Amino acid sequence: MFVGTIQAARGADLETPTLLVETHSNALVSRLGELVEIGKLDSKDVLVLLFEQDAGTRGTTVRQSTFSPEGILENWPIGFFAP
Amino acid sequence: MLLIFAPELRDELPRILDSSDLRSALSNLARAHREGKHILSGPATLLRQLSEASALPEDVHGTFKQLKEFASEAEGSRKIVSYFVVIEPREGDIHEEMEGDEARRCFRVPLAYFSDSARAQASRLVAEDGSDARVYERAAEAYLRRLGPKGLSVRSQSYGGGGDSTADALRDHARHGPTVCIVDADHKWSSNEGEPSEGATAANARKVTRKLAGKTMCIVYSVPCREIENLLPCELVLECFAVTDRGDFHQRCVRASELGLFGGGPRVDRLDLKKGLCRKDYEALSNEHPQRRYLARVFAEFRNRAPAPTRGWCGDERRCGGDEPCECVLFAGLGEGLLECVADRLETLSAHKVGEHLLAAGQPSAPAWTAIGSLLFAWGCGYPRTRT
Repeated sequence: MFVGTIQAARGADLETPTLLVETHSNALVSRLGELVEIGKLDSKDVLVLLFEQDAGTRGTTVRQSTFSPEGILENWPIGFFAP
Repeated sequence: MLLIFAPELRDELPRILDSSDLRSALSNLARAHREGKHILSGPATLLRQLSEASALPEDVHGTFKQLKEFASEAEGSRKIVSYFVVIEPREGDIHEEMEGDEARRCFRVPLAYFSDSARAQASRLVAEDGSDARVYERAAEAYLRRLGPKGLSVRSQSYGGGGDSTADALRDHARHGPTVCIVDADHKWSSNEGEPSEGATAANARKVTRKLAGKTMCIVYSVPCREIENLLPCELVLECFAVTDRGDFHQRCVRASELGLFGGGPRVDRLDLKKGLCRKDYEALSNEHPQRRYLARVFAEFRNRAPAPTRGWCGDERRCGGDEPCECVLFAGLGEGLLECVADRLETLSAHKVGEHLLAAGQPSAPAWTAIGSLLFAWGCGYPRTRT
């Protein structure tokens, strides 16, 4: 739906909306990767920001992760999706 | 182990699903992932097709559906493992190759290889004996806890090779599935300083891997030391005896610790701790190769801390000559049994604590333990067992 919204806006020559989505869903993130893989979404059009709290300092750092053209997450903490 | 479906499987999916052998292979792989024995990944579009393929059993659909949701992360894990597998839709041999210009290796394996369910079981670890294997497994868990990614697990089926029969054990196991063999390099001081040759156990195991190349996924890793005991940190050895006094054996281990013979890195990693050290050994070593004179300092340190023989040290007042046993014993030798004690002790410690012993920064043998942990993580990584 998010990607469809962007495509529809572009198709109608409207200003491309910026969507900010807060999620805990790995299904959503993975679906974005799949859409990148099949070419429905440009890897440059999506950015995943990961908020990580340090257990010791309790400070939060923001990690920027992107998709490769094959839909693979780059700069991603492997194991994050572990059940 | 990370197992990745090649994108070419998408194009050949109808042919693959028509073959009962290849369907079995797909099912075996999915179940191995589900049981945490391996990480299976591939293009999300292929995993979606597999999750909907009516030719596959119902339980496998659920796993592929879940896999699809891991795909964008799981395939990225190829960057953190030193070995992984690419599964291809072809017949023929297994090829092993370097991945990019980094120290990462990839096995290219035909899908049909996994039609035997034994080959999709957890990777096999063959060590020289059961105690070695137990210590390596704990090192791998500590590596994962301290340096590896969060949320994954490491699993292997471990087997003791029985010392000289390790190569035979490797041959037997490698036929049944992915196998990693870890042996002591048995490095001794010799005239080829700097490039020590491997001992017979490692050489025989390598011979086996060469013979089985193309048919199996197996490697040999030789730990760069004489025996794995050389890499044990002193504090860990002493901790083994903190609760139970094992008499004379205990005293010998304490003595070796006092002399700095444990975990001292390159300074002592080729000494024969089981047999012990006498002054005559040192004389032979330093005469054999002039570049090894720095050992004189090491032995001088030992001598200052060792009880002097009644007739004085050889090399000073006299020399122990000919075939006579040298009386100037710096250290009497541990004999057998230390590794078993250490393995028992490690099994009582948390992975975090094991990491503090083996992998702590500044611990001279930490690089060797890290290499072992990293290798076993690559061969045994998986997601925890999941429900679908």
